[in-house]
Amino acid sequence: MEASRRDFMQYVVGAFGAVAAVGAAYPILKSLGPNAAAALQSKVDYDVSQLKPMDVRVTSWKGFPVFVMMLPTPFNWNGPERNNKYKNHNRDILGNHNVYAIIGKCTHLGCIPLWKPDGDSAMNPSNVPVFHCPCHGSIYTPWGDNISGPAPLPLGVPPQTLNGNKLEIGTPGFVKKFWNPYA
Amino acid sequence: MGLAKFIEERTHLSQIFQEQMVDYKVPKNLTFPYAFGVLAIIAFTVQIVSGMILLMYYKPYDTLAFDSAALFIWKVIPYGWLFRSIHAAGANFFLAVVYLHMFTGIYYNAYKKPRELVWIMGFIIYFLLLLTALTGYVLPWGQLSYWATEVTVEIPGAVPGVIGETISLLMRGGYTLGNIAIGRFFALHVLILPLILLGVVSIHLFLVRAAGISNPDGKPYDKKKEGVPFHPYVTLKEGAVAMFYLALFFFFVFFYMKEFLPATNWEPANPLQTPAEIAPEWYLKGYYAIFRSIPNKFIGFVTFNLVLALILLLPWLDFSPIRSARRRPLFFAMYIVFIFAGSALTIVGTLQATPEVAKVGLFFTALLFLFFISLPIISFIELGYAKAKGEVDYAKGGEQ
Repeated sequence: MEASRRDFMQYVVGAFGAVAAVGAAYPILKSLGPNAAAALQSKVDYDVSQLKPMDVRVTSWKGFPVFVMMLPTPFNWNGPERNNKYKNHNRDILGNHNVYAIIGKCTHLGCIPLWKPDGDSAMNPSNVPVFHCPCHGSIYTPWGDNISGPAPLPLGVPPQTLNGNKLEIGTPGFVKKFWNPYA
Repeated sequence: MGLAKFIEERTHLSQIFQEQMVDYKVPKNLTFPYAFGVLAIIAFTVQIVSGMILLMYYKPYDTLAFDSAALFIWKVIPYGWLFRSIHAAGANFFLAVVYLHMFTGIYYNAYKKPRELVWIMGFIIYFLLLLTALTGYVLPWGQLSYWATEVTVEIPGAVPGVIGETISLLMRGGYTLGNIAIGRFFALHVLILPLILLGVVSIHLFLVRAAGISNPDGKPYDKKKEGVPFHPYVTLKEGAVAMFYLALFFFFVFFYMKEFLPATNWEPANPLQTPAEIAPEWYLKGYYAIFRSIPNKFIGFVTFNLVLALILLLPWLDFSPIRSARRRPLFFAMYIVFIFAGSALTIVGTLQATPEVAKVGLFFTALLFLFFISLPIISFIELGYAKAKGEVDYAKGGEQ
């Protein structure tokens, strides 16, 4: 039996009804999402001209605490590596750069690690600069690779680019993809 | 579809739909104004949904209210401007639709037996809706919001002595419009009045179904032989009217908000400076014009409340057995006078309060009362006419 005029009208009205429903839902759902101010939070510029080597500064990106680091050139680091899937994961991404940003949130249970530029007695050798998380004792390299303690993954690395004296966190550049171990 | 069958076996929805929407018959000759009721429901829903979004971000505190609406919602929240525009325009459209719905009911005499309760419920909805609009208007805390509400709260003060002062004091919660007033107006506008409105609207709809929908000719008809099923005739007709309404409404929302978001209200409220022209919104201007036209404030207060009472008492003022202005030329003439006087009073309310304007307002107030006074007289005449023609059975109710 071929479709009647009534069927045609029902389909057309139904299709327009679906469009209307989407049209009504779209602004409602968008209004619940991040606004212009929140979008500003997703791109943070940090002026690195005042940093000295071995400095760590804390800022914020997308709600995460961020460590902006400056390492001296050349930088020899002879701490241990952890022999697992993520061995040197962050060092491979960031090792060639002396100014970079990593996310300062421990991948174990979320505390903010402490920067120990003169080493930590819990480590062997105990004079290499590391991050030491005070909550449960996880230890990270200056690039955020986890080498000791309960932390399962390296610290997060936001997309970032160095633009003259500005480290633009959130803009892809020498780090293109957001390494997010917290999701 | 499996899901449809699952729900059907447990709720028998299609049977309920069949009994309530398809087997339910309505007169064939329902006109376009009969759709204003459904438009009122749509306008109500639009206000509730847009209000829910605004409620997430509005702050009911005097130092925060204006910025939360004019800055935070209007500029920061994505599409916040859209929801504020919808809510502001929607309030005006809702009241316009309700007025048209009331005037339709008056024209077709849909307040007569057996629909007196429908009319009473409808009046309660109208009154609560005016209160909802009033309590909502103060919330953005602009100059107009503050001062129009200040004027409105002062009006019950026209009752002489302690009673008037106490009413104004209780409305404000103090001697000035401030945080206490914002707090209670906010609670009334957002929850208390809408909940009561939902209840009264439900009762109103039930009573319409229980008493049966009126018909434009006011003549008895045999439901089974001459009725058409509600679905699809009325559902599709009202659906089409709803489309036109929404198109018109959203045209204003996107392209012409100037009248609904007036410039004076974009200034934060200043309790020490009244703007040049202060008056309630258009839906109250008629009553405001009546109030201003009468030199004695108390008598003016009583007069415009008397108009409200007379609207409520229409089923008993107009006791003629003949229904619908279509078949009552005398009533139709007075109906025109009523509409004309009401519109003229609304326009008079926009004018400056000079003695000449007050005289004009008094004239139209008299015309308005003439409508109500004429109703029993016309009913008496028509009762005699109907008795002579042997048509008095209508008065006993029956299929109408």
